Amino acid sequence: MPDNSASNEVFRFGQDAFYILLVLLHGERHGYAIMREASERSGGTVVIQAGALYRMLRRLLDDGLVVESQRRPAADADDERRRYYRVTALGRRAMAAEADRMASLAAAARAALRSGPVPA
Amino acid sequence: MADFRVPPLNGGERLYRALLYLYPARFRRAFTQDLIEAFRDQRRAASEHRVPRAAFSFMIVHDLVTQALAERATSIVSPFRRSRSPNEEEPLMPGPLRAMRFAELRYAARRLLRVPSFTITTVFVLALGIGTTTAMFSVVNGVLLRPLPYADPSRLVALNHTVQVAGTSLVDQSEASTLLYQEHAQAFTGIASWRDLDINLEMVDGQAGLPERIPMTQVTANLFQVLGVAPALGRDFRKGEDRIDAAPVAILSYRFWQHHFSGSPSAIGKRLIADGVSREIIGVMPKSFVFPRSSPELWFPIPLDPAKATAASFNYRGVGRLRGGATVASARSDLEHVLPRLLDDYPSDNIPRAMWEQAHIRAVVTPLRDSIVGDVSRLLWILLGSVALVLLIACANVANLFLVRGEARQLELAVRGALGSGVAGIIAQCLSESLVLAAAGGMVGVLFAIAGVHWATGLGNEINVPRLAQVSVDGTVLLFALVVCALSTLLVSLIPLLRARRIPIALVLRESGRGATAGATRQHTRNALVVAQVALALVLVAGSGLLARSFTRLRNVRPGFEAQGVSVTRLALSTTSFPTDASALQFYGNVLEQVRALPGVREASMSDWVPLSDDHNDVVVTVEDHPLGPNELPRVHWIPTVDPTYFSTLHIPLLAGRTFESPYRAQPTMEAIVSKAFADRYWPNGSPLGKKIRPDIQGPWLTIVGEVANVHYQSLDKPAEDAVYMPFSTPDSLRWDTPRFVALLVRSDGHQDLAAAVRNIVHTLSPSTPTYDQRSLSSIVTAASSRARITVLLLVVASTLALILGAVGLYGVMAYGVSLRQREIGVRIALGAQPAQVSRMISRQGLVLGLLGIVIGGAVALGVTRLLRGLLYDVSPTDPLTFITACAGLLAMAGLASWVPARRAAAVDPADTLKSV
Repeated sequence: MPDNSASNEVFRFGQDAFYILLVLLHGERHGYAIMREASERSGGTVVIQAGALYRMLRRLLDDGLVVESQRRPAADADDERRRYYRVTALGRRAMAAEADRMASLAAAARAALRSGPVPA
Repeated sequence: MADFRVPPLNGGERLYRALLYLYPARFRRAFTQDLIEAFRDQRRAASEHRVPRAAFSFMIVHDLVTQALAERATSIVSPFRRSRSPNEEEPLMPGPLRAMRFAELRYAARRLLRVPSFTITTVFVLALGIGTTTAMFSVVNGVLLRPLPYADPSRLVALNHTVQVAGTSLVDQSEASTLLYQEHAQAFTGIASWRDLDINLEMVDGQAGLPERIPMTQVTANLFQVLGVAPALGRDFRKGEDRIDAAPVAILSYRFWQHHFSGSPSAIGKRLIADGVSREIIGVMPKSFVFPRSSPELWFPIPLDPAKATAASFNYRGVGRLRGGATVASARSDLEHVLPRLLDDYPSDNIPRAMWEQAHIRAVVTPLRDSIVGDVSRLLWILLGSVALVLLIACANVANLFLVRGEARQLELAVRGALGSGVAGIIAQCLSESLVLAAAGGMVGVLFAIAGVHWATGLGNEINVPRLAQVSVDGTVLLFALVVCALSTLLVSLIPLLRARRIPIALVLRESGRGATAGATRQHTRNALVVAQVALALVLVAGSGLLARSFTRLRNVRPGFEAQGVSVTRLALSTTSFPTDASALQFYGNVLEQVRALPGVREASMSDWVPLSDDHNDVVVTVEDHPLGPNELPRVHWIPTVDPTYFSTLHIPLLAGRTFESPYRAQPTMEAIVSKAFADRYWPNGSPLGKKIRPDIQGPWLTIVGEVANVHYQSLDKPAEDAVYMPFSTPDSLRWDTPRFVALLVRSDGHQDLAAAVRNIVHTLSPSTPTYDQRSLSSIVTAASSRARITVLLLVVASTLALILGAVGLYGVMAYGVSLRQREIGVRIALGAQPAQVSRMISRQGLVLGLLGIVIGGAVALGVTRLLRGLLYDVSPTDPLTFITACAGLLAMAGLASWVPARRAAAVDPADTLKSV
């Protein structure tokens, strides 16, 4: 298994946290946009409601994987009020580690499917 | 598309913002604005995609409530979980729901069984509250809410008239009014009438049994059609069968059919003889059929004769089925439109039109169910409210128990959290325990309810609550029990959850067993719950006290006669066996002579009206020296017909004059006797003796020969009637028949059971005359106040439960508080405080809680008892004596409940507690 020592702490992601970070990897977003995109990216299977979203964001903020963004994309007055969030360097590293973990799991599964049953 | 770029605070947003208070403060500070923005976006998207408002609202509220609760719960255990499992977490619901598999419920049950005293107490308390509420709801449902068992019952209305004759107000239908409305009223698809009577059943299908007196109802031919119920066997009455020249027929009740024909279909076509008339049996009503207001065995058609139909004898109950589109109001005006023709079309009464007009007769239309159950509805809702109070008190008790237990498990929960158990798991644990307890409490409660309903339906006849016999614990009631169960659980488990504070585990470990700081905060909640319990208990106790006082006042009303030692036997003479008044009189004379000769009999008499029973006889009376004004209406008075020994048999004092001469030997005389109330009304300053009155507006006069003391004939809570007593035998010119339905009143010295002997005498003298309804006069008098008695009984039970629960609750809180403060108490005693001082301090606290509850409860009760106004006899709803007694009682309860913990506090050994410093 690839070395996770990039961070000393082990983050085990739930599905929602994973999708939130996935969306943020594509750029800064505000709350509702994250909800919408998470739904789109998962083909409608992952639906995060507002309450769940912000609770998750609070934890991600507490753990330093996400921060509030200072920069605003150019937009109309409406968007000025909104808070935007972006992923941190720590967050990127954590996602990389997670992606590696999932890849190796997927590889193990494929190998098992090709080779078939082995007597115990 | 709506413009959302406005400052917050349009309707939905305001509501959303308010709901956000469910989140903990810290979370709100961070995210309120974001959540509102997200809400707006979602709403915009929802309207774009045409999501229905209801679905959208449900989604939003569901998310908000569940996440808010989860966030609060998390704060119990979050401090040491900073960089760990939060990220593994999924949105909370359906987390706990998934966790609450059956296994979780089994574990919960096992955990609960390990603390049997807590579990048993909780289940029992919940069962009491849920059981009593469910039982009472069964009654309310069965009597008031369930629709009547007829086709489309909401279209059925009762038809009455109001009449402004001094002494009467609401009357029913007459033969003439029935015929008139049937012919001309437009707003109905059918109008029918009926009258309850008793008949002598002489023979059924050629087999003669003892003549039996049974209830029968005379109906118009279309009554069952109007109700929408068809006979199960045979056919309904046909049009025209309710006329005087039609062949006599009969329809049987299911009960009668089973009893006399064993359920055989060959009953149709057979004949029966009742009151000397042979009738063909044409149909049998279904088993489930329930007749409104009474339970007749048979139905006969009314033998109407349109040429002779009387207008002013309102003896028939009327019912109508509204046409589609007609309302109660439009039906009423329809009848009003038709009513003026009554005297023209049916003049046989010979009533002067001026007098008719003076009576201001108006048609009244009320929904049938209201007319049947109307006068008990208030009482039943009040009873339901009272048991709901008991339930609330029970829930407060259980909530307190949960708080105490929660605190005891604080350490365990904190350690669990530190070891990484998900918040989902902990919430699941709490909820599953609540679920198990509520389910157990609910099941036991339903058992209590079934027992209670069984008892209530058994009361049926005694307390005259309509439809009571058909009350049962059915689907609706079980659903209600389920809802009550769920709400109670939510209530009791929510309080500990919402009051949760974040407790650093270090603090918990250090302070455990010595009264954690959080214990003090929880104590406030517990105190508040106890105060609430005491307040609710006071409301209940005050209300019951008022009703009890009213009932006592009622019982102290003297009925005007001496019931003890008198038995009542009713007879009904058929006109075939006794065609003339003279023959009836002779029979009565013979019966009385033989009964008086029985050993142990002191006096015997007869009357057609037994006081405080369902008998009823009111007639217009005119007084010679109070002639009626030109269009003035005569008063209606109550007129019992009595044998001369009636007054001495019932020990009714003769105030002036004398009683009647014996009717069995002498010539009939034109005499009457009046009650004191009657005499006071017409001759307040003089004697009624020698004055003349008559039971009609025309005809010969009777001379008053005696005045007797007042007797309550209708009920104890109404004033004694101004009655006129008629003799058994009067001249033919008076057109006052000798009654054929009489009650034989026998005063004995009580040593033997004379019932059989009396029956024998009657049957020997006239085998075709049945006797029925033999009871003691005392039981009749008791039954007259039985509804009040049962109400008081129920409320006393409810109040006792409330007092017990309140005492237990107060005791529990005090005891727990003492155990928390053991160290402090030990220190005080070590420093020189007297044990007596310490126990006084504790008692005082208990009394303060009690006092607070009493003050709050007293204020609420003063407002609430106004609801009892119509049910109280001679007692004001804010009666000071009752309130003071109730407060004193609760104060005593508070003192008692604090006494034991106070003594325990005084018994604390300082050496023990200080050892653990």
